[in-house]
Amino acid sequence: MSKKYDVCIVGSGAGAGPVIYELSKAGFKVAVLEKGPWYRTKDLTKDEITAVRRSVYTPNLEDEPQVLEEQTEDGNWEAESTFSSGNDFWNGSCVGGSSNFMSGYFFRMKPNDFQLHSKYGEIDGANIVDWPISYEDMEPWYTKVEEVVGISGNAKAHRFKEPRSTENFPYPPLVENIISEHLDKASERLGYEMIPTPRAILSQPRERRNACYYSNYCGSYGCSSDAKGSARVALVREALLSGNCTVIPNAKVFHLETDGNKKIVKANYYDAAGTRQSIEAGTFIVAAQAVETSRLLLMSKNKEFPNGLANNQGQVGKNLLFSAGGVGGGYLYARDFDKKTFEEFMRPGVFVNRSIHHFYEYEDEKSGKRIKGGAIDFLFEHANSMTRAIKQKWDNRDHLLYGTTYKKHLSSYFKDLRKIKFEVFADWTPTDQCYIQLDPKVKDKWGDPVARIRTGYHPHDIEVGRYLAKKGEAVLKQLGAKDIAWSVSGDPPSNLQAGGCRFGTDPKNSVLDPNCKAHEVKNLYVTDGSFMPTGGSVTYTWTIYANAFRVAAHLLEVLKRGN
Amino acid sequence: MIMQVGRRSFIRRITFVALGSQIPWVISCHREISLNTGGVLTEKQAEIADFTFDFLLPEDGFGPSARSIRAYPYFIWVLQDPLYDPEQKEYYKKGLDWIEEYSNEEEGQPFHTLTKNKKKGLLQKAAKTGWGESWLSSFLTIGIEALLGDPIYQCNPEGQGWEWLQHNPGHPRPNKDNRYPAILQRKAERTPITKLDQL
Repeated sequence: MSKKYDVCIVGSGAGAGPVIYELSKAGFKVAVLEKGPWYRTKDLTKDEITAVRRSVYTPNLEDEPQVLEEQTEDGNWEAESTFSSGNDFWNGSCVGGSSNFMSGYFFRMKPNDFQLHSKYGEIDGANIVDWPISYEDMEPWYTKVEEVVGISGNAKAHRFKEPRSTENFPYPPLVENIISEHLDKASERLGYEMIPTPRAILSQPRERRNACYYSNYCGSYGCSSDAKGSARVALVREALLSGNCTVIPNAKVFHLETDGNKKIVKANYYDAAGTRQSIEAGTFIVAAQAVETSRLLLMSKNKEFPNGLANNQGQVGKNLLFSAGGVGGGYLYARDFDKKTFEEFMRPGVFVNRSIHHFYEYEDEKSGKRIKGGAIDFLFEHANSMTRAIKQKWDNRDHLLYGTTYKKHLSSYFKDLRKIKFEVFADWTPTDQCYIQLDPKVKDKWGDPVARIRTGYHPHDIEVGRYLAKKGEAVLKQLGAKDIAWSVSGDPPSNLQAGGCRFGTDPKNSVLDPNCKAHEVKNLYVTDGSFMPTGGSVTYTWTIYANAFRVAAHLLEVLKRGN
Repeated sequence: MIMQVGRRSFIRRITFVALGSQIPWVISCHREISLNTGGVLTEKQAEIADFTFDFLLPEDGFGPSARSIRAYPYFIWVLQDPLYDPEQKEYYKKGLDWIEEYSNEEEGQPFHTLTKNKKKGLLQKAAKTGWGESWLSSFLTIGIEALLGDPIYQCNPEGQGWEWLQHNPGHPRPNKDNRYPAILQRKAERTPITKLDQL
């Protein structure tokens, strides 16, 4: 069955939501093909078995594996299916995508992030380029996200604060744990600027969405009050009000068909029963998250595009990005604080919401060169009880604890301490060793080749990560935390992915033009994080939302012209 | 459609397990009564599994025990789950056979004939081997899920694990429609969504 729409959008997460929202509201007939189901708010509970311990919000790895290529110590690359390794690389396969399960730590990229090459120069072995647009071009769209998706916070002044067109966030900050004040004082003693972390979580209700009720389970869980600014709730659900939006859940697009004149005419997909279906439309938008977006283009081969759609220059899948950095943490022991203070530390639900951007740029001690640094976020260990209990199975010598010894250890871990953590975010330097291709052997349950992801990192990222982690460690020491440890590695976080279809002005080294239209295809846009040539040193979601609003505005002009 | 068949099958099994879940509590006093094997274990495997959970989370007067949190019935539910990693399920069961072999090698007799102290000693000894420690660790993970899982999964009765650890499990809690695996029915939906009242 085939039906003609104005626009067909593949995916429904942060990169798709703004386009679905804007084009539907403007009166265009929009079809959304989402590979996963539509989980209603009433479906979303705080059940750890469902949200964490089983593959409910992600595909079954036996049905839909991916292949990860990692570098061994001797420099070779080894590929292994995620079904075989158990190293699940999926995140959020459903309407709204991974934005349903984000923690919603939201930061704008900073002006220098748009000009990384010009401001900080070459790095050997890296493919760093400036963006074809500036921070000023993006600023109005960052502001729009604050209002439409809903961001709470306090825009406190600091040395790397991004220029804003409004004074403050539209929603006041969420309620904080007393630890936030302690962190402020600890960083002040060190001379570091600590700032409130903006969150894509409503602190006050608005139409069809309730305010946050501090459930204690945010990241990895769907929101039960609709306070979290997922694309599902903030944008796709709102788009239904227009009467112009059709969302087809459990529709796995496997091929985009062109007409021999570099124009897509049809999206072919499998429905929930595994039957082949198709949708015809005038314009096509792909926003399936970076890895799957590149995979779909590479799978959409034909005579016009023998190497994959929009890939006659061989750029699709190249310069994949993750977020570089690492994690650290220490323990706040009851014995080190007065009873009342410790009880306040143990208060569940309320947030830490503190970050340091003081080292977004720093001077290298040896060379005196300006280095692009990054951000440090502070947070409590996740409330997940099973995850925490499982980690306590092992003693300091990595021997299994069991019996009464384990039970006593577990009881103490839950009652006598709380772990305070930090996360380091630095640029993932783009290189030739981080990319997506189609695996020549491994297929998914429909018989299509799966994504094979090479995850090489640049050693520069490790140096920056370590520099930042030491600052995080210093703050925790000042705070009175004990047994502090951190690790920085080149392991890619699967929930922070971008790149693969860079935007730029030169078709020889970019897939998309500055409006995120494919250079080589007349009616194809890519609006997820794939467009990013560099990723900044903050989480990507706000920028993905903002860019998708920017592209939606361009598309509205194009569609209204009938072009 | 496939998911719906799976769900009906699951509910039937749960009813069975729920009835059977009383049995392990009874056999703490009357060992000669057979354990509910759920059709997924042999009787020998079942006895080793039940004893192993007691060994890992004993009834020691300190917090809940494997028996009070219904670790064994929960384990049977895991083994009966058609969506659970088949290799992992096989590993759980293989380990039970390894313990039987180990008993024959070390004690010269089957596990079920050993005294309680000898059984405990054998598992302590196994915990010092690579294979034993790894397998016991996987079993303890099942025990932890039973300790801290929602009571809707026939484990952690009245949230005793949460209460013991002063843990706030968050709300809302799962119900019959949105618990695992019922929630997976959403993956079978084909109807296009065009209006808010469909949600």
